[in-house]
Amino acid sequence: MNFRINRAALLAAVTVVATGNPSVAMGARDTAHVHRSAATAPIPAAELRAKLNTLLQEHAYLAAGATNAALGGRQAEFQAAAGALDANSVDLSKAIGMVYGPGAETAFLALWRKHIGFFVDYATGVATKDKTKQEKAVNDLVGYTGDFGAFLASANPNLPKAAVADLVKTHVLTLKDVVDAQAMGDQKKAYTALRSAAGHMMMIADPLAMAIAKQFPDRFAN
Amino acid sequence: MRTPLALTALVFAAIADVSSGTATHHVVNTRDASIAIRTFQFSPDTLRVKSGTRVVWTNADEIEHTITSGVPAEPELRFGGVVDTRGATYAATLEKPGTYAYFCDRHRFMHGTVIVTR
Repeated sequence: MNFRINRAALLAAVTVVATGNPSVAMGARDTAHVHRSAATAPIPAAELRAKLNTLLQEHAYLAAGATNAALGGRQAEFQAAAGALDANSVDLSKAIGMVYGPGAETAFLALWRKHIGFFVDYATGVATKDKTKQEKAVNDLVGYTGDFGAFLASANPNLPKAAVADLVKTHVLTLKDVVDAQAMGDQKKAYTALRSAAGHMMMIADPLAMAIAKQFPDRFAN
Repeated sequence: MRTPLALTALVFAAIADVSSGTATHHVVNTRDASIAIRTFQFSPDTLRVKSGTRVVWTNADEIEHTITSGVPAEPELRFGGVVDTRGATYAATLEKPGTYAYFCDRHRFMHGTVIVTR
């Protein structure tokens, strides 16, 4: 039976899967440790889940930091945030590469960076009040969700393309809410939206982790 | 800027050193060389074949890819086609020895090379 992604299933999964593992605190920089372990013993599936949640939530917070700095015209801060955001992208791609190999790692990184570029385009359009640029960026982001869904569906038959694309679309829209609030200078709204955007990343990380664990039961235990 | 696919398809048809080049659902025979397109990668990314071998690209991704000869900055228009969804194939028989780079025009980070020898 194919694993189906829906909110009810996700809520059930979140209820069932424990997060008390000490490795929850494991950061993205511990990829080498995980890779080494993969050759010898199964990794707890909860560890994979925690790792993906950490990386994807970090992605949301760093992206918002970058757009806030860009919209505020704080160039040095923007460059630092963009650098950290890209380091997060590299870590995320390494996590994918750990499972699917170096070719997939490279492809994932290129694909992932594309959507960040589209977000930069959107933020630039908002900052310059360029509606055409904003609309193009939104269209590019919506188109990107199909690409991303196709990538994961190709890598893992337990991840239906349309379901992944829908989840990534929500990621795009929730982060767009953050950028719009930042542009209006409404910090309360921006941070509320950012909590929603970061919280939504679990909707991607959890099914991704579960689908990988299901695909490779010999590599990810429980 | 992306190359208009319909236009390039017409140009490809006129290229003399490619004896066939169509995007459809081919039957792969034992004298073909195969390249899979999976998780946005051409596999193998470098393929060596004898002159006259038919090379068949098969899309295993649930999204449209292209096989466009050249590199993104400089498409060569020697061969090319569109594989619009999972299971779609494109085939080209490369007659002239040489090194043929190609890429996907929709996802320009996807690259491959076919090396044709005598």
